[in-house]
This record gives sequence, structure tokens and C-alpha cells, in this order.
Amino acid sequence: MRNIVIYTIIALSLFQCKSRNSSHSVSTISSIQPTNGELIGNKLDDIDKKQEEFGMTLEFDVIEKLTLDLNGDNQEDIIEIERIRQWIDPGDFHRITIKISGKKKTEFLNTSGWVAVGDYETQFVKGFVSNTVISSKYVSLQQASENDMLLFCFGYTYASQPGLLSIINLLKQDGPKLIFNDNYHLYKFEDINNDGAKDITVTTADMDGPKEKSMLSVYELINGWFFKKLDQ
Amino acid sequence: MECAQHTVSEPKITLSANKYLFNGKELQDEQLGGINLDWYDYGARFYDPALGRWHNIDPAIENAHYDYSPYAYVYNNPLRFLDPFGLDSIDAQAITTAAQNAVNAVTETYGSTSAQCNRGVNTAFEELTGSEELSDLDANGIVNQMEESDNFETVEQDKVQTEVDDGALIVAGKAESSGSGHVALAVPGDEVSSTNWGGSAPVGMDTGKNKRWSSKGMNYSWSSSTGVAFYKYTGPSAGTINNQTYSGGTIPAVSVTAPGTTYTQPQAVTVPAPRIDRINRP
Repeated sequence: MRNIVIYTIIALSLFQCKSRNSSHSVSTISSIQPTNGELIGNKLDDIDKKQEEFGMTLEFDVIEKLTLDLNGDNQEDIIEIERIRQWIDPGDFHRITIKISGKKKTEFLNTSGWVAVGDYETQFVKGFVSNTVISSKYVSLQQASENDMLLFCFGYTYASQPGLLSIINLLKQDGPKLIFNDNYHLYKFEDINNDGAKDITVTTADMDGPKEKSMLSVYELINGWFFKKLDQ
Repeated sequence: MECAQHTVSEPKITLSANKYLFNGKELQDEQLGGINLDWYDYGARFYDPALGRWHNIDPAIENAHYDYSPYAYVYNNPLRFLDPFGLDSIDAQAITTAAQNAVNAVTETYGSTSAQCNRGVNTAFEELTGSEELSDLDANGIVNQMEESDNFETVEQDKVQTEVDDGALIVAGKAESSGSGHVALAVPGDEVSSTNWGGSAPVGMDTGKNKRWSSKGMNYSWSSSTGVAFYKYTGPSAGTINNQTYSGGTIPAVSVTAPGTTYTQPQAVTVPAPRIDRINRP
């Protein structure tokens, strides 16, 4: 009887180990197939909290206004690039206000500052600036798929980290959404999984490029959200 | 190396006279050629309080003073600087120069965008101190070293600019548990206004990612002061004199010349491992 109990415990333990291993292997097969996505990275600033922290009311000047029909309804949609008035800290602009016809106005605030799109920000992706849907000094608008129009903004480079790579999907059903916001250089913007949507590859490496594959991370654009590719 | 001590002349010391006056230096009040000198002996050279001038060139002039006469005493600013040995001061100007040299060196070697904050700080630190304490460390390593070393003490942010303007060597740093940390050298100048830093930020040299500047507000180095610590160096300092590095000890072969008389015999100068904070405001 005692032997039976011992053998049962051993058998159960082995079964448990096997189950754990198999579930682990499943999770590394490929990307997580998403149903609902979420922001990759960190939230942007909340204006009320920032005003409380600074002890001042933030006022903004529109420094660039982009007008185009984003959703094909023959109505004007507007993207306003704004700078905090009399701001003395880094950043060429700090707020993006997007008004898409039929949708609620949406604002995105970054008091640490975004910068004008330049060679440094797009150092790894040739032609990224010229491929923009609409000409802008500050942002780059990219058609990622039939249903995804992505607004790329590049943060000021603090410390020894890349600046923020902020990506807003303008055509989400319930209005523009921030889908990516983390300290990375954009390394590639191309359809990796051949699903018709352009994906992003990002890195923290310097201009001379990543020295090894582990310095690259791939995020696939699926249903308007980014999902980290796990078997890269 | 054994060096013969040279005395300019035998001072006539009377018991009642305190000859160690200005800055604690010995007053040379004996007569030379029938004239009362009343100069102060600073070791490497003599200071004439009547003129506010040295009587001979700064032996460490090669360290570059740019706009200042090598005969001037502490850049004509005795309220700010002190020159305890009559040698080049490790002061605000030296920090400014070292910062510019470090930016130039890093840019030349690594270009203008890669993250090299540790190399910039270490280059300036070595130039100012002769110490290799921060060599071969990344930014996180430099912060950890400054945390643990007896040669550093932390300074409050609101004291940083004043101390650096007075010649203190202060490194700002923030370690990161993931990714690389960051370091910058505080440099002399005017604090800048910064909302993100809670009002104002000290100025610093930075050779970090996409940064190559010798003086800019630290609000351009970190998005906020949260987690940034300031480490003041309190260890032995060093400099060069006649192209020889010193960090305390005896400097050989320093010729001392006075008007009308040239002392050709090299005069040994003993430098007692000066600390930067000793070379601050008198």
C-alpha cells in the first residue's frame, strides 16, 4: 500500500512536469494571436497631473496644422502639432491634437518633448521621411495597411537611451489610439508576416547598428495593435 | 627621486613676527638689492600683493589660460579662486577646459551620436585628477563606484552649481536597472530654468547618445531630476607642471625667476596631494 502511494506521487509529479513543459513550448511557437490589443510601452502624460506637478496652467501654440481626409468620408480631418507656450525644456513640440470627422477630438501630451523628424531619428529606415502620406516637419504619417494609418513621433533623446518612439493609430474605430510608446530606434517598417500590414522592428543600438539579433525586437501589427513577436 | 631643496634666501625670522599672512603663505620681507621685497612665497613662484601679480610666469601655463595673463593671480578673481602652490589651479576654468577637451576627444574617436557618456566623464575626470578610478566603467559602473568610493560625497542639487563654479569636481549620475545608466560632468556656468527639473537645473558636459556638448542645462541630459545624484570628488587631484603629472609629492626642476635676479638652480616644490575642495574660495 505504501509503495502504491509513493508510485502515485511520483507519477503525478512527472505528469505535472510534462504539462508545464508543453504549455511553455506552446507559448514560444509564434506570436500571441490577439483579440484585443493594448499599448506597448508607457502611457503619455496626463495634462491635469502635469499641471498640478508644475503648479502652472499649460498653454499651447499650434506650430503646424495638417489637413487631410484620413477616413475617406470627404470630410476634413485635422492634425495639430502644438508646442507648450514659453517652454524652456527640450522638445520641438509637446502635444498632438487630432480631430477626425465623426470622432471625438483626441489629445496626446508629452512634456518631455518630441522632436522634428530628422536623419538621426530615422537613421535605420531609408526613405521613411519621404514616404510620408503628408509632408510635415514634425511627424511622419505612414499607411501601414488598408485599415491602419500610423502617425510616428520621435521623442527627444535623454540620458543614454533612444528617444521615445510614439506611434498613434489614427483609424481605430473608437478614435485615434496610442499603440506604441517606448524608448527605441525604429529599425525597420515592413510587412514581416505577409499579412498585408507593415510591422515594426526596433532597437536600442546606436547608429552603427545592432551587433546581434538579440538587440532587435519585432512587433507585428495585427488588428490595429502591435504584438511582440516571440520567436524572432 | 631625491631633489635638493632650494631656498631663495634665508629668511630673517623674528619671534614676534608672524610671517605667514595672506593665504597662510610666508612673507618674504628681507631685502634684496637694497629693496624690501614683501612678496609671498608660494613655492613655485612669488606673489606681490602690492601689484596683485606674480613676478614670474605660471609654470603650469601650458594647461591653457586663454584670456588671462600668466602673471595674473587666480584669473584676477581672488574671491573665487585660490592658488595654494603658485601652480595652475584646479578651478572653474580647468573644469571648463577639461570638459571641452573631453567632448573633442569623444567626438573624434566615436563620432557625434553614439552613447559615450562614460568616456566623456572619465576623460575629463582623468585630466583633472590624474586618477583612473572611473576608467573602464560603464555609466552604471561609474555611479556604483562613486556611491562606494571614499573619494566621493553626494551634494544636494541646489548646491551643485555654486560648488562647481568654485572649482569643485562634481559628476551627475543615474544608474538604471535595465539598460544603460547615464553620467554627466557638472561644469561652471549659470543654472538654467527648467520646469521639468522643478525650477532650475545645473549645467553639464554630456557625451551621451546624440549629445556632444561641453555646457548645457542638465534638463537636456535627463528629463527630470528624479533619481539623478551628484557626486563631488574629494580625493587627490593632479595636474601637469612642466609637462609632468603631479598628484601630490615633490615636483623637481621648477625654476624661479625674480626681476633682477635669476635663480637658476631648480627649486623643488612639495605638493601635498591637494584636494579640489581645498582650492575653493579662500
